[in-house]
Amino acid sequence: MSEAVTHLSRRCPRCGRPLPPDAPEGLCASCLLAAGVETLTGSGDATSTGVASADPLRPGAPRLVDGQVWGPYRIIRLLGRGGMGEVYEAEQLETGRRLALKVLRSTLRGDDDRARFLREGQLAASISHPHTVYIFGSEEVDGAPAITMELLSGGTLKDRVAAEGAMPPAAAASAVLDIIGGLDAAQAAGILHRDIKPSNCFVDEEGAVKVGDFGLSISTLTRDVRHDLATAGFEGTPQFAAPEQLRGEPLDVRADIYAVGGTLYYLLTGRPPLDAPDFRALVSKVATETPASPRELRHDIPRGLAAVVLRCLAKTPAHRPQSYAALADLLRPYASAHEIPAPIGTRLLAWIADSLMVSSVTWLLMSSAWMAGLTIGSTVTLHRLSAWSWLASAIYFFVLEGGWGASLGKRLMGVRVTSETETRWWLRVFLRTAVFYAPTLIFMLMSGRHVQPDVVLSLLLTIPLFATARRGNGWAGVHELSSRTRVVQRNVVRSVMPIAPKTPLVDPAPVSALSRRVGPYVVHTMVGETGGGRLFVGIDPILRRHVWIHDVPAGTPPVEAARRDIARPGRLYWLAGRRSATENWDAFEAPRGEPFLAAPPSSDWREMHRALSSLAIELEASAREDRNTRFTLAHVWRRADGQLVRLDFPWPAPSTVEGPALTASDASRTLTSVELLAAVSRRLAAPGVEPAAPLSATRLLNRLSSGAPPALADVTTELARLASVPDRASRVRRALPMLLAAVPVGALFLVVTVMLPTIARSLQGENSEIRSTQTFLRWMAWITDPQANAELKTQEQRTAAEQYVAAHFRSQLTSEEFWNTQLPQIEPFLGMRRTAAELAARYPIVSPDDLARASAIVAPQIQELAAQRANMGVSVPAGGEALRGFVASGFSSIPVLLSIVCGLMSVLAAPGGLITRALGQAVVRRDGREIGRARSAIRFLIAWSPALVCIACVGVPMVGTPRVSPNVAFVVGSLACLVMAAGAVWTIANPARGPHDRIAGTWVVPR
Amino acid sequence: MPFETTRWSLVLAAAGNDSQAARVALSSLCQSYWYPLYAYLRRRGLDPEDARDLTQGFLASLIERQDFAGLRQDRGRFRAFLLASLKHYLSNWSARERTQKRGGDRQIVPLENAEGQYVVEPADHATPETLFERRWALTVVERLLADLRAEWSADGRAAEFDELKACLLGHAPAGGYAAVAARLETTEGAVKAAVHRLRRRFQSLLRQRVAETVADEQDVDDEIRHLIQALSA
Repeated sequence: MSEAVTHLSRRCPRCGRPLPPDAPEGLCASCLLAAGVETLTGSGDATSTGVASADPLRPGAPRLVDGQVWGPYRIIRLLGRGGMGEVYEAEQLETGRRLALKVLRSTLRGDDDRARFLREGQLAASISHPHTVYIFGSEEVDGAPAITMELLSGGTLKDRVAAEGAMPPAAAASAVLDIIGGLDAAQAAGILHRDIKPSNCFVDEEGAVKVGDFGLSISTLTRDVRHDLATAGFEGTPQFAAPEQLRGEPLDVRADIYAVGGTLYYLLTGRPPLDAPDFRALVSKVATETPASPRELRHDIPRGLAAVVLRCLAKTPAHRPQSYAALADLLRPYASAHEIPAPIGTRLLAWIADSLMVSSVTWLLMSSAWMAGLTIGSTVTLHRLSAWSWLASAIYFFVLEGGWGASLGKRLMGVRVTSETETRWWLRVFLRTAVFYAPTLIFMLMSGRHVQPDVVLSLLLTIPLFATARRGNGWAGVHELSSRTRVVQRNVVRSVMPIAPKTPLVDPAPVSALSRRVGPYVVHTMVGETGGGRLFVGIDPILRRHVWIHDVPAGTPPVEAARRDIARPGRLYWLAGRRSATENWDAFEAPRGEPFLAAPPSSDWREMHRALSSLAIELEASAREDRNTRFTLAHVWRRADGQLVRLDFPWPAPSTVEGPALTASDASRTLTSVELLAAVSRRLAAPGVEPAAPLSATRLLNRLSSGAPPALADVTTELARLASVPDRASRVRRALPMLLAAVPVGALFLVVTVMLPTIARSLQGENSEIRSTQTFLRWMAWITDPQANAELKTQEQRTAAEQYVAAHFRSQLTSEEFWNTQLPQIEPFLGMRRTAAELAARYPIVSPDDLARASAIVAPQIQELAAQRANMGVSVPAGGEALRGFVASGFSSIPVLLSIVCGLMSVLAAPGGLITRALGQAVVRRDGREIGRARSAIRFLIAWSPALVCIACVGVPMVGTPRVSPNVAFVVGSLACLVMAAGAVWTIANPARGPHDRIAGTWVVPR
Repeated sequence: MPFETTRWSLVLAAAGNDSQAARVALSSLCQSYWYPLYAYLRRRGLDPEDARDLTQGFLASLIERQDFAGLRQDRGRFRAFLLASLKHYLSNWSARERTQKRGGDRQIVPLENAEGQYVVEPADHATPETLFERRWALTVVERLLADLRAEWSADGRAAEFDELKACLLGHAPAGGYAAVAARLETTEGAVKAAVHRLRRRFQSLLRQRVAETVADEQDVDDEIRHLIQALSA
């Protein structure tokens, strides 16, 4: 002991752990024991120690062997070993059903171990989610507790990576989204998993991933399950455990998010983010080292995805995604199932936006380059420069799409460029851009013109590229096929599954010795007659959850094997059953919720979509099993999360059935799949509410209830497509057409607020100038020809007039420019020029005294001319003013009128407008159907009416000018523009319904 | 080799009937394994004096009165039995009993330096149960090594034992066999043989000691694994 105390810092040479001060004889006790059971070799007299297992740190031989009959099961094979137990594939002897059987390890026999093992079962059984492994039951066989679970044929994700190597990024992201779904459900039930890793994620037949092995899970709710975070040592798999978990600190959901990140890392690269030969080294590594980016191990991982992985693996929980919903949003764009090809219309608009942006910038640059060229005398011409502008846009697309996956226009329209694999991404983007610009380049070379084709010509040159575009290939053009890139929608609607609240553990109190037992269950209450039997609510006393027990008459054939193995969200799990002379029953999962017939209608399209799709998917699967199945509405159960479940029995007669579109007989009438869907949709739809569903949804619902309903497969396909259609109109998409309208309306606003008043002011100024010229010429006439004029009778008067003119009109007298203008050339004024020159020479300077005296003498004439001047305007030619007014009103009203005419054509061609349609939106009436042409035109004119009023004020050139004064135009015009701006703001704030929609009685919804 | 009747299997066989042999066996087992019980009680929050009294009282009731109330046949391990019985005893232990016992000072087992040993227990987050298990495992190892040292010392080979004990971990001695041989003034081959002998003796003693605490030979390996796990936790 003393030796050890003096060597506190010593470590065990065998395991590397520090030696505690009380290490016996200074040796690591655990390693001594391990060495104590090793087989000794050497020295010729090797003797077996008699211990079967060579490595005592590994669990001993499995408890059960293949083929062994163990209680009611036959063991088929060992599937794996978890923290507490061994998992076998087993066959239930009575039914032949295959399931997974988890048995407590033979080394764990304490009461605590048993309790913990059963606690796992209880926790896991309290979750029922498509992405968690379902627990059938729990029992004790030969004194060992066992849990039966659904058998997943696809192995674990670890097996998959081991067999096939690292997964493609999209598949890995999809798998992790599944895991997140299951964990989110667990979290909603108040459960932390604490041991997420690839070997705890199971793959089913269809490739969906389910979370299993809740062996280390703890309940975050304190009431029902004992747990002690502060005293628990480390448990879990250290390679995937968060630093705070390794330190034994209190955990929250972010520790599981770390493990999810570690799992994704493993799926992408085939190895855990951090690893070390022993636990201690690993703990210090996890605490200090940042794992290498997955991209360093594999180049085809999208950057964004790698960033998400590293964010999950942040040392500080606050730096990780804070919830599963947040993490799912980050991952969804990379998951294979969520990429939807962008429609051509959207792409066209994105391209136009890009072209406008690039060309305006390049023209600006080139004009300045040209100006600069002029000043330095260079030979650069605008023509030659513009020939290279295509290169500018090619570089623009290459850099933005390569670096960020989307040009600005694509970003605006919510689409992005992707590739199936990210290997040689820049090369692909280069190829894509090069092929896209090839026709332009060829055209320029062939035509020999160094001219950038304009927008229309570029469009014509580009269209042939899209000859290959088909729905099947994701609307891929030649440039996309050759570069193996696609344009997909960037923002896919979050298909958040609301999680059913936790099924509370059933209070075992009602279970007593007197309770009636059916198989392993205790009968709780009777629900009622199901026609073919009686339905009871029972309790699984070990898992402490409810089950439904369907008591059937003797002679009823047993449930078919195919039915027993169904593990779909749309059906109940079959748990157990018996057919004998005395007992005939089947036990099913009892999900929380209510019979569909008792469920209230819902106006929320998402809810309706969830209900309909879940049922449609189930009905389609049911139809594959038995085409002729008929259903009643009583066969439908609504889970607490809103999904519908097809029951195996009609829910016992509902006492009252309410609902507008449902007759009482509907409840019991047998229906085909499509009829059932129609009945469900009719019953769900609450009447009289605003249309809040996409147009295609309304169409689908109408078709369902029409005389010629669509095929079930079409319904499921359409419902699947609708999952990615947003449920309300998007602000950005509503803003876009208004942005286009802002150009003419803005011009109009400029005209009424700036141009017209300026013109008015300048006209006023010009008038006064002209008038002053006329006064001057009158004076000159008097001076030049005194005889012809009675005004200046005396010489004194003439001299005074000459002095007055010389002082007041000196600029006109000496101005060459003035005498060359048009007016002085007219007959009566000819010859005055000489007189003017003489006057200027005669009176170089007129003193103020002289001027005052002269003014006094000619005062009557001054007054007369002033009086005349007030009336003179009429005779001034108005040509200049008219021209400017014409230009101004044309500048404002022509674009507006043009917009109105084009817009009117557009809304007549496609109700709601072509742009609205291209942006994936539709204008509908109250009943959800698309509006007609007339209403479409009215709605459009309502929207533009302020601009029309404005034009009426400003005037339309060549049509006649109902001219108003500039002041009136200013007030009315700016008011009209402000009304339109306010309307636009309102519309963006309430994208479903702008003011014009309110007046026209329309709504805007996604198509 | 047939499984010998061990002390614990003897106790189990007596199963509460007054048997002198079982009493002696139980008493000797308790002499060895009282400390984990004391540590458990201390970790449960009892003060040193109460923990002493309780340990004594518990062992007295167990050995003298053969009070096997907590015994269940399917619990084939002395370790588990002892802890379960102690818990049972603790739950029936009242303050009245406490005052009565005080001053009685029956020395069923000499609790030498119990508190002195406990104060050096690491002040970690281990639960009383974990601490009990760990202490138990350490006690097994400590007793083994003490026995081994005693055996070698009796042969006058204490120095040799000190040199070679690290080889019990399965490694060659630090510095190599030659260096050790030089220090001990013997040959390399002799050192190798000694190491092998030491390890073999350790292994056989380990099995023997552990077997004393289980009812069935098949449980020995499981029990050793359990001890390793208790130490690794």
